[in-house]
Amino acid sequence: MPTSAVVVDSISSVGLNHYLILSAILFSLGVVGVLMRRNIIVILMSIELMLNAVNIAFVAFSRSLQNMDGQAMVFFVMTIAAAEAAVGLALATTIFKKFREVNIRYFEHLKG
Amino acid sequence: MASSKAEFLFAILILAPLLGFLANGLRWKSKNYMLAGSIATAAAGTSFIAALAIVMRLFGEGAPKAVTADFFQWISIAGLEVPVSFVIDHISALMVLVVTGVGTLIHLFSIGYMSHDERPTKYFAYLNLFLFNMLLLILGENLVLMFVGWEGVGLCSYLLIGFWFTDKEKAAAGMKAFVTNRIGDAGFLLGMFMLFVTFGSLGFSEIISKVAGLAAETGWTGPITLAALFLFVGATGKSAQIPLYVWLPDAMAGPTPVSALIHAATMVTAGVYMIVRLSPLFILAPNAMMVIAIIGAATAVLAATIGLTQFDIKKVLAYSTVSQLGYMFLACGVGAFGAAMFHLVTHAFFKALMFLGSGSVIHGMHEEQDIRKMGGLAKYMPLTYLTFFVGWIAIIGLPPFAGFFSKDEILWFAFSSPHGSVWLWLAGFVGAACTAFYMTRLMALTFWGKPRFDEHHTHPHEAGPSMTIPLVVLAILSAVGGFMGIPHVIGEILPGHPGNWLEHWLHGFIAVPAGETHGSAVMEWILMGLSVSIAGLSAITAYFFYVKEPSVVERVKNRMGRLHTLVYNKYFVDEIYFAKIIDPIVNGSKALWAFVDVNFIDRATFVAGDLVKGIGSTARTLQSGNLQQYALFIALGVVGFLAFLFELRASLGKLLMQAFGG
Repeated sequence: MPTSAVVVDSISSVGLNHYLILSAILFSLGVVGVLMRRNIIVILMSIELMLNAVNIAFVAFSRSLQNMDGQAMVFFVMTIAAAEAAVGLALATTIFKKFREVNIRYFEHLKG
Repeated sequence: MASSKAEFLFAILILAPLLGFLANGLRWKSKNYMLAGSIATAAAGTSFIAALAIVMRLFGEGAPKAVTADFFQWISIAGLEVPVSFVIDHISALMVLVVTGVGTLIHLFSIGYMSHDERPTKYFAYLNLFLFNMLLLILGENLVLMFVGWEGVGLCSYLLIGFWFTDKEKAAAGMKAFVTNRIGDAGFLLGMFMLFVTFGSLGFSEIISKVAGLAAETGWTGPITLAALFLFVGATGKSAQIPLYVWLPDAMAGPTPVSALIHAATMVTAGVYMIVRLSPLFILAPNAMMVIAIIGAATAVLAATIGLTQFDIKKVLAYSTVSQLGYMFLACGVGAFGAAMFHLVTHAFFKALMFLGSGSVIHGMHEEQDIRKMGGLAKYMPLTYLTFFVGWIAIIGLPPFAGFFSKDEILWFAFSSPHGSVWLWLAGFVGAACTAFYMTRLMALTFWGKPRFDEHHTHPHEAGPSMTIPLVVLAILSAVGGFMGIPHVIGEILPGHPGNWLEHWLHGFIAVPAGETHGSAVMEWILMGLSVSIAGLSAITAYFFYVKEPSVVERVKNRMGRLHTLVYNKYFVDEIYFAKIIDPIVNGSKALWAFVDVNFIDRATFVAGDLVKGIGSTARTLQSGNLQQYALFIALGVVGFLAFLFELRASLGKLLMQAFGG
C-alpha cells in the first residue's frame, strides 16, 4: 500500500529537530503569553504551555538518546505543574474575590 | 610555704582598697557618709596592717632583702614578658608604709570633712581606687605595672580634683591636671620603649642587674641618657616640676583631704620614687642627672617665690609642695637618692599635716580659703593651731623637727656630692629662706594677729575627733620623723652615737655616685648653721612684717610694684603657655576645621553620599513591583546568558581548532 508507505515514510522522516523546533515555538509562545497578557488565568495557562514545551523536548531527547531519564523527568514536571496550577489558581481566586477581576497588577497589593 | 603566705599578704594589701572601691562604688548614690567613710577607712587600714606585716619580715638577722609575690603572667609576646609580680624591698617598704599609713589617716579625716557633702560615697570610692592604683605603682616589679598605677592615680587625681564638677572652674582644673599629665606620660612611655629596646626587659631587678658594671655615658644621645631624660619628663608631669608644674596649684580645687593625700603626700612623689627605684640607671647618665638637679633647684626657688605672694591658704601650700618636690629632685640630681627618699617621707608627714590643718581651718571658717579674711584663729582652734605649728617648724627646718634633717641632708649633698656644686646649694639655700618666710606669713595671717573676719557671723570651731586624731598623729610624726636620718656629724656628739638609720636601711638598694665628695665635717656644720639661721631669720622677719608692722608689707609691695605683680601672677606662666602653646594649637585646629575639614573631608563625604543616592534613585525605578517587568528582565537575562554561552563555545572551539592544528 503505497499511501500507507508514504505515511509511514513521512512519519519516520520526522526527526529530533522537528520536535525541538515545535518545543521552541511552544516555549516562545508561552514566554510571550507570560510577558504580555494581564489576565492571571491566561498567564497560568502560558506557564503550562512553557512547561509542556519542555516536556516535549525531554521526551524527544529521551527517545533519541534511548535513555529513560528524560521521560521520568516529565512525570516530575507534570506533578509540579499541577501543584503550581493549584497555588496559582488559589491566588487568582483570592485576587478575584477582592477586586472582581483577575488582572496581574493587583498582585502589587499583596506586598506587606 | 612562706612565699605563699607572702602572696596572701600581698593580695590583702593590694585588693583591700579595690574591694573598698567596689563596696562604695556600687552603691554610690548613698548619702551615708559614716558608712562609706568607715568602709573606706577600714580598707585603707587593712592595707596598712598587711603592709606592716610584710615589712616586718625585712627586719632582723638573715632577713631577706626583699619580699616578692608572683601572681600570674600578664603579657607574653615576642620577648616582652610582663608578669604581675610585686616586691617590697627597702625602698618600697618606706613608700608603702607612708602611702597606706598617711592614706589611712587622711581617709579618717575625710569622714569629718565630707560629712556635709552631697556625694560622700562616690568620694570615698574614688579615694580607695586611688590607693589601689598607688599601690600598683609602688609595688609593681616592672615598669609596665608601675605605668598602670601611674595612669590610674592620674585618673583618680582627675576625678577628685573635679569632684565638685558643677563648678566649671573646678572641672577645668581637673582637665588641666589630666592633660598636663598626659604630656609627661608620653615621656614616660618613650622612656619605657628606650629601656626595652636597650635592655630587652622592663623588670626593675633585670634592668638594674643589666646596668651593673656599665660605664657612665658621657654624651647626650646615649640610650641610657635618653631613657633617663624621657623618664624624667614623665616625672616632671606627675611630680609637678618645671615646665609641667602648672597643674598642681590648680589641683587645689579638689576637696582638701585629696590635696593632702594625692597632691602632697603620695601621688606627686611618684616621680621621685621612680627615679630612686631606677637610681642605678640614672647614675649612669650624668648629663640627665645634671638636668634633673637644675630643674629641681629651679623649681624649688621659683615655686617658693610664688608662694610668698599668694593669699589662698591652699595655694600657698600647693606652691610649697612644688618647691619641696623640687628639693627632692635636686637631691636625685646630685645622686643623693637616700636624701630624696628621706625628704619624701618627712614631707609626706608635715605637708599632709599642714593640708589637713588647712582643711580643718577651711571647715571651721565655713569654706573660707582667703587668709586675708582669717587671723587670730589660734584661740578658736587651739588643736589645729598647735599641730599646724609643729608642721610649720618642721617645714622651715628648725631642729630637731623632721624637715631640718631631711632638707639639710639635701643641701649638704647639693654642695658636697661629686655631682653637686655651690650654685645648687645656693638655690636650695634661697629656697629655704623663701620657705621659712612664706610659711611664717601663712601662720601669721591665719593664726596670729587680730581676727579679720566678722566675729558675729563666723564662729570658727574645732572639728570632731575624726579630724583631730589624724592631725595629732601626723604632728607627732612630723616632730620625730627626722630621727631616722640623723647626720653623722650630729650623731657623733649625741649620747649613744645614733647612726644614720635611713642611710643604713637603704644601703645597697640605691646607687651612690662615684667620685670624690668635697667638703669636711666643719663645712657641714657651717652650712647647717647657715641654713638654720637664714630660716630663723626670715621667719622672724616675716613675723615682724605680718604681725608687728603690717604697714611695712604694703610699703615693700609698693616699692617693688612691678616685681610683685610679676610674682603675684605666678610669673604669667599660665598666660605664656596659653599664648605660645595652647592658643596656637587651638587656632591651628580651628583653621584645619574651617579649611581642610569643611572643604575636603566634609565635601568628599557629601559627594560620596550624593553619588550613592543618585545611583540608588535611578536603580530604584527598576524595582517597580511589576511582575511582568521582572519576568521580562529574567527572560532577557536568560537570552543574553545563552547567547554569551554559545558565542563563547564557538570562539573556544575556534581556539581549540587552531591549537590542535585544525
